[in-house]
Amino acid sequence: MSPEELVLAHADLRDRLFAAKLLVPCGVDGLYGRSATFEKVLNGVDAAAYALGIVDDPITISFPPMIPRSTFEAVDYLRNFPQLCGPVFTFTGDNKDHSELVHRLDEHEDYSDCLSLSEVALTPACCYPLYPSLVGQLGDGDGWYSTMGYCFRHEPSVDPMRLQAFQQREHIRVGTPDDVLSWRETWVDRIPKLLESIGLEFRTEFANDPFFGRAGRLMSRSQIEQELKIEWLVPVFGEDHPTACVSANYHQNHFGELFGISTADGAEAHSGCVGFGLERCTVALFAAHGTDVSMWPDSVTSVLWP
Amino acid sequence: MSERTTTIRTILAKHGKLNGSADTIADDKSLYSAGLTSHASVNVMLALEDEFDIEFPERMLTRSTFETVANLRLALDSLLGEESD
Ligand SMILES: [Zn+2]
Repeated sequence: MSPEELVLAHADLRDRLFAAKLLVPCGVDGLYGRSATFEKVLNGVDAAAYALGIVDDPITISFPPMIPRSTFEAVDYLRNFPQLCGPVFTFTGDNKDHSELVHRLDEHEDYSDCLSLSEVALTPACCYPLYPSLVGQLGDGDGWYSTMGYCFRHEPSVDPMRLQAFQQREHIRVGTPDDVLSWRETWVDRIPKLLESIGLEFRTEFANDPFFGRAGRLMSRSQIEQELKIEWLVPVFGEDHPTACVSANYHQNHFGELFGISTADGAEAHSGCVGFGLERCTVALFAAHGTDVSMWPDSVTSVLWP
Repeated sequence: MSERTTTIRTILAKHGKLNGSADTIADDKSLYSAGLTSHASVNVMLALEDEFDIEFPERMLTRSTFETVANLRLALDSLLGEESD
């Protein structure tokens, strides 16, 4: 598939989702309303992904879709992924500044220098707010967490699998390197079973995050060489352009060191997370089984809403 | 010790966040096992590029280039030519 054909395939699937009123255009690529049916499927995927981790008895926590800017800066998001970031700006000026802002608006001029950084940023990955909350020593038997929430990444696209505002279900393990890696192995077993049960084809790869620039090339290669990120990719647009729907990540001591988290034994904590892209799984289901949910196989719906 | 190797060690001391001393680590000892993180290796890369006014080509942006003092020296030699004594 050529790049032009791929864009057409993206637009075609998005048009089908619009036509079936599953997604509702908002005027910006990657930002859509969702129908009750879309949400029902998405919640079904989330419930199944959550249920898979119940055996670990995780502490379940929800966070708002924003993180403190201090966390956003501490996790090196601007160093690694400046192209995706979403710090929140607001207005803190006086009357004179406000007149200038309104003047710019009326003249349709750029007003970005009339605004200033607030103390929050849009959450880029829903596990980020967890780590600063774990500062200090983990209690005995602690170290399993689950969270779900909205994330933002600035990557406008006609591809309905690539949204600017999307939800993730994440399971997180904090502990010794062995704890985290053996936990990740349990997910390497579990994830294919879930994807198979809902009728999604996939393949598995060691992958990298989209680190920015030349420095990012080194980061990406290091990530792959160290096998830190495993992705389950679903070929919605053909085998050559599969989309990552689930990933299992090992962060080494990155967050443990950054936020001063130690294990119950007092060692610097390592961490890992398993993330389900809920809209991606949902769109993949509509692509695989059609836009009419009443026609989906019982084997699939019995997993999504048992 | 060659001037280049000395510069590599100076930059490692400043940006490598190694557990031990960057002055005494053996040429062929893994810097990763001495605590060099991916982020720190990027900072070492940028500092070397600044210092020698070079750009590491794509093929050199791998973990192995930054694995040891000897590998860094080889990479610099191939970009700058052999060092004259
Ligand atoms: Zn995560």
